[in-house]
Amino acid sequence: MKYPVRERHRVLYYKGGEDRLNKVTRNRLTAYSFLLPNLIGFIVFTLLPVFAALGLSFVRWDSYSPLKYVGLRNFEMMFSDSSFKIAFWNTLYFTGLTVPLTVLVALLLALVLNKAFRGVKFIRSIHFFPHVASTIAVAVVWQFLYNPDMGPINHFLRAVGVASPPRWTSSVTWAMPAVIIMTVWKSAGYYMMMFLAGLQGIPGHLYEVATIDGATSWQKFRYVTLPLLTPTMFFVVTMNLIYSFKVFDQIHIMTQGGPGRATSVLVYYIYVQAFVNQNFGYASAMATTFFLIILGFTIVQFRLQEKWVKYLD
Amino acid sequence: MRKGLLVWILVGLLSVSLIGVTQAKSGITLKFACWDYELNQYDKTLIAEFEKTHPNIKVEVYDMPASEYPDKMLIMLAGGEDIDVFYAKDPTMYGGLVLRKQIMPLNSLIARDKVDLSGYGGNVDNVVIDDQIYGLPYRGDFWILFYNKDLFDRFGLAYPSNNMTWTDFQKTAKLLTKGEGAARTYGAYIHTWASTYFMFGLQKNMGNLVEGPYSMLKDGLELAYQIQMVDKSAADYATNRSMSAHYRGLFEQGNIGMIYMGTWYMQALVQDAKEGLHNVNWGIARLPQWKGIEHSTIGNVTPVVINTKTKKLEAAWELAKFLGGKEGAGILAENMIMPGYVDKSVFESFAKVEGFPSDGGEALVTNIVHMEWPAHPLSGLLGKMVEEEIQLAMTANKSIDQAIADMEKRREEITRLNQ
Repeated sequence: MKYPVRERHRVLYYKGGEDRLNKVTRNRLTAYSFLLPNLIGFIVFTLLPVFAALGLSFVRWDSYSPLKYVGLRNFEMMFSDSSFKIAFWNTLYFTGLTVPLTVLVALLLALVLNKAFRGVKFIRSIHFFPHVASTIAVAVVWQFLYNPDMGPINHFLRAVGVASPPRWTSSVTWAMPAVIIMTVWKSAGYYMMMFLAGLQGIPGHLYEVATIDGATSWQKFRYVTLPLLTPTMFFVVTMNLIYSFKVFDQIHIMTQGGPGRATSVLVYYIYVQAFVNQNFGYASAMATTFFLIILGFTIVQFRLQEKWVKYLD
Repeated sequence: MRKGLLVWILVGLLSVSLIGVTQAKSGITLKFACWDYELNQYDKTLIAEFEKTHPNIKVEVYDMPASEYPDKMLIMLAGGEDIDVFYAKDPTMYGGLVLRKQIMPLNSLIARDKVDLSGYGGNVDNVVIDDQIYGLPYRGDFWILFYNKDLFDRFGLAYPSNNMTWTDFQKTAKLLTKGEGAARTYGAYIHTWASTYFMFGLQKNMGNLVEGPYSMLKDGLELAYQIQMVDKSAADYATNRSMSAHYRGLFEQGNIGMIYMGTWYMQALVQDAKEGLHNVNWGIARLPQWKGIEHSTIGNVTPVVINTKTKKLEAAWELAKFLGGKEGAGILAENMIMPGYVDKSVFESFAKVEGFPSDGGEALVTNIVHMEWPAHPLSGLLGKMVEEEIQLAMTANKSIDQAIADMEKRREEITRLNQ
């Protein structure tokens, strides 16, 4: 108690002040030692495998025989492999539809459920539920819903007068939309919560000012809500983009890439090459390429962010 | 106080490890991997019998779910796990193991111990790769026709004969189909595996699906399409797929006349009846055939193999000989499993099992058994490709001719890319 604050620290931590490390280094070491348990896991299970995959991209390896260096051959293979090309375009198709649809549905839900009325919390929870449910279980149920002859969806469509409704997961044309619809249904609730949080962060006085100035509700939405929601929008789009690119579970359960290759996506094809064909080199090369594509998209996102994302300050 | 505790813990650990060492010295412990060990009792019976007759060898069992078995083994072996003896589930897995030199050639041991290979019949040809035998056939399942006797009686039809043709099969299926909704009876059920669709083609004896012409598949695919989409005497592929249908439960409901399936289904039928899950009065016949072509069926050999890295070769060889030999075959037959080793006594064991159709013995006699996929490095990838194209044809997204043409094209591409 008699020491000045700085001195007291010294006494408490270093028992007599063996001050060999400077303070910044000491602080860093303390921080790292707290991070260590997590950091070890990250290095062993994420960082090293990522580098290993990068290295494996340049070899031919079946997991047992010695590695054989093949240079860029694995990358060249992608250009003449029709299955890779199909999986690549299917991934873009899936992402290109899933992201805007999810954002739109989530935003609409959030706007509707941002009002205070009886039971609003209950309804919000219901919409959040699909996100919590296991993808595997949900995919199995949807597979039944999509059944072309006996499924409830086509029963309904026939009842409202569609003579020959789509054959969903067994049709080359409709299998991908079927997976997309299910994915949007499953993830919209989660992003709705983000938008709700964003909406509630918009200060009420801005609306008051707008009302005094005689703005219509559309104008309020267009010039107050939407601009101030852009930070949330940015987050939602970025996350959704990454998740959509790496879609796998629902496809593995619902269609296994079929019929034919109609819903074969990149992650699924990487899995096939690695674990069906035991061509770990080629699979790693595709994974590396895939990583670069996602990285590219994310960088572009962050660049463009300055143009359209508006912060309140 | 604390130091004292630490000393005691160390002493304890040391003595435990010493006991472990001495125990290991008094006998040999083999590590053995298989699938569904607890679920299916027969492997358990085999191992218990082996330990009884070989008191100096203990067997430590690694049990895995059947569907994950090939992948899991691949990962365990790649990780250097010291499994001594295990099964290669199918020719694809077997071929991969040989290619990666993960299993040992057994020719010299077979010659030294004068193992009689005649009991394996044609199965032995399916485990020879480059003149070397890398495993003894433990199981040798092949496809036969199962039928529901009660349903045939109800329609006043004669039971399928051992010389049934696929044309007869289609006609009979049509006759057995009647009614609507839950009361509907179906003449046949065609399971969703690709093999249920391509086995017709292999029966043409025109070669395998890695090297043979895919035109062999045409008649069979057309037959299956006719039965499902035109005659409607079997549920169609898309429906079965979206319902995740399982043949076992469907046939046991009693409203399906005929189903062609592997011999492994016999054991399930007997077991399910014992548990009171069904009371279908079932019979078996040889797999139907194409008119004018010598009868053949498709099958699967499961060899028992030895890890190249084993340090207990003699004991491992004893276990492999037991599981894949006459003694093992006898126990398997008592459990309604088709062993790789088949002689007269094995057939007699089948006939003795309660629940086995008394008139079924003839159905189990076959000459030519084609492997679903040969032991070839590209079997896995080509298998996926063939399945995709069959799927497109069976869901009417593509004509059968187009699908076959595309199969040829894609085989060329896959072969070129994986040179």
